[in-house]
Amino acid sequence: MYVAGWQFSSRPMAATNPIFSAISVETLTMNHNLAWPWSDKSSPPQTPFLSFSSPSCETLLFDEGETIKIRCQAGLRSVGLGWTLHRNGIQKPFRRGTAESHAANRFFISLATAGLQPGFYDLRVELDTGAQSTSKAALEARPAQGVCTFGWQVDRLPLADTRPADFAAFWAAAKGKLAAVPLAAREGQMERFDDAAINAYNLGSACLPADYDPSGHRSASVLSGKVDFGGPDGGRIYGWLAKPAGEGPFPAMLVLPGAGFAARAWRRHGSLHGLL
Amino acid sequence: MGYYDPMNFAPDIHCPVLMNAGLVDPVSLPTGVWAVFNRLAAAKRRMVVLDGLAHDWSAEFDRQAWRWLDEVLPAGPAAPPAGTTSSGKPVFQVLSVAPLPEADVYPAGTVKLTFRSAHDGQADWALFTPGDRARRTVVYLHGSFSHADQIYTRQDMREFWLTRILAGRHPLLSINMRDTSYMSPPATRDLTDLLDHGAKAYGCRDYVLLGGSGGASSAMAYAVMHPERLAGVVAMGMCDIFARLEFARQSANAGLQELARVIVESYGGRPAEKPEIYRQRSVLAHADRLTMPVVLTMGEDDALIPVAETRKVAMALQHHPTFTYVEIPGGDHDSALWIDIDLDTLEVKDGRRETGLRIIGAAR
Repeated sequence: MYVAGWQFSSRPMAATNPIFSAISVETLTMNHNLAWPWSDKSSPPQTPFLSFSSPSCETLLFDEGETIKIRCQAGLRSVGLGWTLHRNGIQKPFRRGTAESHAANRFFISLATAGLQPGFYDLRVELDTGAQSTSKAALEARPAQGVCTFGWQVDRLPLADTRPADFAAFWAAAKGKLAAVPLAAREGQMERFDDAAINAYNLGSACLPADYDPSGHRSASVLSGKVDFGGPDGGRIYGWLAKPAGEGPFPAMLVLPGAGFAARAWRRHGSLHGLL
Repeated sequence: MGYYDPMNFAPDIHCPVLMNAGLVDPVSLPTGVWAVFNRLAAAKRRMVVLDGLAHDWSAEFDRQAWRWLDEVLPAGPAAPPAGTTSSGKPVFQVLSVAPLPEADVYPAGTVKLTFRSAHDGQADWALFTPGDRARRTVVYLHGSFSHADQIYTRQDMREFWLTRILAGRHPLLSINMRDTSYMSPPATRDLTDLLDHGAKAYGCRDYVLLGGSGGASSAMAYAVMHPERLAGVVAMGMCDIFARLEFARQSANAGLQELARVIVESYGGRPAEKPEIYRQRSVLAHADRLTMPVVLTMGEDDALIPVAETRKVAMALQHHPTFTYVEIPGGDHDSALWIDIDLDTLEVKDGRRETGLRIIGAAR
């Protein structure tokens, strides 16, 4: 599967681990990790060929009623639509059916809420386009499969209490240990970046579009550079500091990188909004 | 892993929170995102639902986030105190529903509900044991210096009341009431929200309050404030709040002196300072509001509650058509707890002649 940057297959994991084989991780890939040139392609499994909505609930978080109605608009010429219903992230379906066809390649799926436990559900659909080709390339170019995840009474999502009894003590001890580490902060060379420089960086390296919130700017330019400080076991923690040009004090934002091995975006544009 | 699961940090997060979630995100499944969101203790929290999006980024969400930061981070160096903002009152929300593993203590299906108060955004908890939702739901109010687990963990209470409640297949909601608060304003608001939540989440209806000592005072205080919400009250050992406080305050008993201090603290001041808080909870001031069936029990020789004051409550209610007063001759503080009462009809089931109970009240 796709894509811009990194991908991995779930097959080895699914083949060896019965838990992972039950969980639908086949789409576990992403194209937005803030480390690549900007593109307009959305992350899978979202596809422009199948879009979902509900006539009664914009957020798809349903809370009441005997029936959940989902509308699926196909962006391809189509003949019919089949569906299966799954617990969120679970491969095995517990209901299946055929959607009600409307003109304009639109389909309606009605799901009875009786028997649904509070939580999230994946409604997976497969569009019958009537096309003969089943080649992988054709299917990837025009995906006829899609998923719509919706919630049912999610404020009642049952949650097991897994917080250890000594949770607070555990973290108090850990923080106490860290507090003993000298900060020993070092600030590298600070450079000034204006709108144009930040836009070029966003587009070319950070998978972000050019300035998408000009009315929110609080500063004309940003001062930015590397910083590092003391960490546990003699190591050093490295990061980027960006601050609005001008006199503070400024509210501060700590930006934590997502998972992955690629370099992460240096969100200098946040300081245009007045944040350290 | 429990030490590192974000869900387990959520109950400690009290500052305003803005989150988003892509509903078809296969990396951060919405089930996991809501496991965190639902447990946040933040008085102000908002989820932006990205329906149809996967593990993706949204320009509009970023724009909303900048505006939100403008709102929660006021200009200048001082940030607002955690959990408070210039706008947005706290709302009641169940933060977690956790099964209780101690099968020898808690009946099957019992869960601990941790919730955030709509009164002040603080977290408190309650225990719920399911039953036949068609039966009346018993709301247990614990005694002073105890907690919501009292009816499960105090052996004599467990043997007498928990056994009867389970045998009657009554759903049971045992509330913590901010510990010992004598139905303080936050406890009052929390109980109202818990009753609503019980009806919505578990189909509970026809609530009967059951409490002993401090729980009895709390039950009657709530009953005069919200009679429309109750199908009945069983108050086992109580008197009017003004008399209760004065008796405790003047007592040489250190426990009662501490009780007086706690009541004043939870009400926000002494009666002279907060007259309305006390008066709202006074049974003698509002006896006419007790329109539901009420059973009041009392030990004649209770050393911790003045029986003369309890009799004033009984006299004020004596013409109430569904009021029953049971005074146990020679009974002590705990004697009021062991009167067998039908939780559906609120009729006293004990053989009255055998036990020598003194009963006041019409239609009994």
